[in-house]
Amino acid sequence: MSMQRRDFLKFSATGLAAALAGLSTSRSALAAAKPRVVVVGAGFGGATCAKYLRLWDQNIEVTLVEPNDRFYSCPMSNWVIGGIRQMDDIIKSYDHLPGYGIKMVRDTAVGVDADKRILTTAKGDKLPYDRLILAPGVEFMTDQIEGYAEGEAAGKVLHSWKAGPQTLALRKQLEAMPDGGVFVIASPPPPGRCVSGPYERASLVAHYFKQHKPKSKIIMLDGHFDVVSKGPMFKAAWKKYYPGMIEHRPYNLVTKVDHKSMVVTSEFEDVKADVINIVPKQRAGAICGIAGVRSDSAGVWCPVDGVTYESRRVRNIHVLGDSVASNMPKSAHVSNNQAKICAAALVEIFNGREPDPYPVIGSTSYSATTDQTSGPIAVVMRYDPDKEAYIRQPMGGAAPESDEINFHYNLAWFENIWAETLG
Amino acid sequence: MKLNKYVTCLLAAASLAAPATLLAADATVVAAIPAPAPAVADLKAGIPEEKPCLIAGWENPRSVCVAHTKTIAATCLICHGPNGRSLGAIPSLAGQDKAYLVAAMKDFKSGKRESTVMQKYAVGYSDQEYEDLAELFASIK
Repeated sequence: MSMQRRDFLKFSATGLAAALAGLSTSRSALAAAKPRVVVVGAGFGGATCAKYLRLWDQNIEVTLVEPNDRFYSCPMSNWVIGGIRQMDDIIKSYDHLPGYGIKMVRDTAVGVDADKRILTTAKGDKLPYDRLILAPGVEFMTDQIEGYAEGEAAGKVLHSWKAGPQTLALRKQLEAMPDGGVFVIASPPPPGRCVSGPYERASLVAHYFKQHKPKSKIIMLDGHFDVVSKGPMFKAAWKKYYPGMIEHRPYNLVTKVDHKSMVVTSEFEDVKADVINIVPKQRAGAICGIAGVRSDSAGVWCPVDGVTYESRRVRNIHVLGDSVASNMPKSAHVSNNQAKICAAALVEIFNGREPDPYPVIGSTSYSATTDQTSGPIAVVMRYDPDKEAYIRQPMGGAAPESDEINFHYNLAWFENIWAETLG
Repeated sequence: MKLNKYVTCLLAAASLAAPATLLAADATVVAAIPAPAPAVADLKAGIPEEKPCLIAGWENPRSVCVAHTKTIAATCLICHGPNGRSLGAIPSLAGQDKAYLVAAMKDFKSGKRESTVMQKYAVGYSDQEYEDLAELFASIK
């Protein structure tokens, strides 16, 4: 029996039909004017998508809305906190993006009219679009931890889970902490941004303590049941490099913090701390709530079509990166990869062709365990249109140990993904 | 051959379109890539569909395979650098011999060649994808 290409219409339920229905509009818009794409958020998802839309089809008008004047990289921010790199190493320029023909708007997106297809900014700009791409990253649900907002306002409780001022603030607090102090780092239950990040952070802070404050302790209050990402690798490194310094306490969800007494309260215990770092639970960025695309059962993340990354709730709005509801890791690598799939799909749609129904996502992330050792995790996920899901391919997973070779690969990964996103 | 020519030129065009790059090392690389204008024009006019192609066992229009290969190649660049030219210890893919790249993927998959992450990628791609990606990267001069 010869293999027949499956009927295009079979995809009607997957959102591809929606994409193609949108095509008629796009085509007529194309006849009158160039297709207009507005992208919100110039991170690993948004900046990459804007760039690749222009690279692959210079007929598309791309506007990129971003409030920050510079890019702060979350990848490598733990290295600043651990003192093995400086803030300058994680701050990158947006200056190359306009050269691709991207119109940069330095502003915050505050409103979406999905019927008229207009994005409104804080300064009152109204940006019409054929397709809107939301890549805002995460928003912290700080109200779920009693005392968090007060502690953060007082500068005593930091998440440092968006690179920027809090990255440096946490570094300063660790530097000011006396030897013999206790650093408490709390991470939320899944899903959230960068699952392996808290373990890397604990490792690199331990690296700093070992050299400068060897009597100090790190207590991890982990909302996960175990060291869930690169577990054997981190545990081996902690035993080898920092024996007795890191206490990992699983199933330990933080419910309360008192910045005056410096006590962190979990479901099981009170922990007295000298420096407090709590990563709160997260949801899709604020603009996703405004646009009405946080349409999973909890109203937290954004379900999308796996071919186009168009929202399953609101037509012509696409979502990328950490805000997406999926089984993919919420990582820089995945955001960059999703951005390219979305850009490629939109180019095909704008040009009257079928987007690739079988996109493939790769995810690689490195974590450092010392100033000279890192380890990777990698997995390939292929979209199955029948299941409407990305399926993990065999053998994905982490290296059992960190080493020097992977530290060099880790450095190369930083440079290459920054260049792929911003360069 | 044609399929990958389109894709290759697209990737090359991609880097040429950038007036400046993040790092000085990258800037030299970009400047060295030859002008790809004709293929971009061809693509905008529409990909000829005289030959169907297979992905995941299903026949597809040629344009779908071009998009598929192009997008996976763009995934490779996250680690292997803009236009396949790495800025660090991860090897570059641009200009590597096609047969060498295909053999490397097969050896990564079987475990004959040791790797840190590449075995996990090799098992995720098909033999046809090895061929298409290898041809694409081999043709970047």
